[in-house]
Amino acid sequence: MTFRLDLVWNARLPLLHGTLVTIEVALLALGVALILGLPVALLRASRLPVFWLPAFLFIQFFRGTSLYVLILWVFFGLAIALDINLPPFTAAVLCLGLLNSAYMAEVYRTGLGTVGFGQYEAARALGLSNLSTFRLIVLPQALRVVIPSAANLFVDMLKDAAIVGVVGVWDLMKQADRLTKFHFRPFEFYTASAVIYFLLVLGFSRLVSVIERHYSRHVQARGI
Amino acid sequence: MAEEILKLVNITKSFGDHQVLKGINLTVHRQEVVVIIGPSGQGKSTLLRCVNLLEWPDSGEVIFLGKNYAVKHSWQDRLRGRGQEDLRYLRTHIGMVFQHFNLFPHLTALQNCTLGLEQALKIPKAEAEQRAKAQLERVGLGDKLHAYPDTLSGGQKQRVAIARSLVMEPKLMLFDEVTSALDPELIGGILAEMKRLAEEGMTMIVVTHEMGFAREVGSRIVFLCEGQIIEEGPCDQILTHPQEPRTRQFLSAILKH
Ligand SMILES: Nc1ncnc2c1ncn2[C@@H]1O[C@H](COP(=O)(O)OP(=O)(O)OP(=O)(O)O)[C@@H](O)[C@H]1O
Ligand SMILES: [Mg+2]
Repeated sequence: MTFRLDLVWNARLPLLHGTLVTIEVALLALGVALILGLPVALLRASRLPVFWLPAFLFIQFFRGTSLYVLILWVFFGLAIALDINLPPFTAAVLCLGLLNSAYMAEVYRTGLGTVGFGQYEAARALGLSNLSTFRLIVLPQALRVVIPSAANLFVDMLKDAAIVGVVGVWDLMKQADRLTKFHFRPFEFYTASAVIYFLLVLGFSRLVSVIERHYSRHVQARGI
Repeated sequence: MAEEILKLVNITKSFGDHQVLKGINLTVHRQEVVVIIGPSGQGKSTLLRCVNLLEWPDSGEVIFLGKNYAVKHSWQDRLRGRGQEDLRYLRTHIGMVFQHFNLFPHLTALQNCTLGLEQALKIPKAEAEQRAKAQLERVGLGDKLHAYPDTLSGGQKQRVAIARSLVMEPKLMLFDEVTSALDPELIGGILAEMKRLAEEGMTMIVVTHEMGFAREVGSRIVFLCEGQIIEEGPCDQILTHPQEPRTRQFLSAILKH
């Protein structure tokens, strides 16, 4: 059996397009997770049950849910139950984002936890408002912990995004599936997609370690 | 007598059912250096933190330059930002230096010093930097403007923290055991800095165990124990002829070291 590299080469455009869709889904979902995770983390940190309980349940629910199940449920289930018809791409981004916002909330919580009480005290003693204290003192320090973790989470999301084809998003895997069926050459196209995923993850992981190194500067004195 | 800078009237504060402050009355006049001493865990820090309302007293008055700031505002006033505005005024006019420095590790020495000017006092960046630079030079850190806190020694960190407060041109400075976390050889430098400040006429409340400093610089010593002012008077009198048995006991314990 020969490996028909020419078939893969001829299909480079759909494969490239699928790769871009995969990156797009993961990036937009990361955006959802980053934006949604912060308020969830802040609510979770409250001492009042009306605030922390919903946040706690949100985190538990999405951490305990499979992406595969969630995406099918949102795309097909919501359509039937509530007549909400989301486009496949939107449903995919939303589900991947929601699920990971629960993880992001925990990442934010860890990050916020690394900022010592003395930092709040010092900022308030200087006359800063609570909002300025959060924006200029607490958040920047928390982000040093949050950003590397978020970058790691993004790499996971890239891989998890491989299932969004089930609702009809033309991502890398769905393109590979189509090409496989068209040419009856599963070995070539699944190998090609595996290599592309590998390169993607490798590339972004390198980026992550650069980011990690960048944000670990001046980090020893955190909380002092 | 000089103008009253601060007057605490009957301050009480509890954490849960543990009453930490049991009715504190204290007046501080312009250019006075009031030294607060007392055993650990007796409310010294809590009292200082009540002065700039980092801790809100349960009852009593915090009168700063003639105005009581320890008042709960009605919700209408709070909506209008009245409470916030008062709090900002109080805190920007009172400097505080902490035992563990509490410098902002993600900001340079200079940025640590400009933050309050720019954010709380709304001073333009260029002017803020100029003032911060001058202040850091005055505490001997003219060559560390762009250094991050974790590259500085403990003594240098505490100088930055002092500069960060002074640059706001406060009317009153609070020092909470600012030399306790320093290596012994660095303590003298910080105490000298505080002495210079006192000589320049700064009004100060200083919580410390440095009795040498108290004797030399303090105008008055206040002995705080079990949430109450047990004894108060001129430094020499308190240090050499304490009237209360608990003061005597405390002093003999710490002067032995
Ligand atoms: N936020 C808080 N919540 C609960 N208890 C507190 C809080 N802050 C202080 N306390 C308690 O109040 C008491 C007085 O604390 P404070 O820090 O004022 O003492 P201190 O005189 O400054 O002691 P030290 O010399 O150890 O600094 C202690 O028993 C402390 O445990
Ligand atoms: Mg204390």
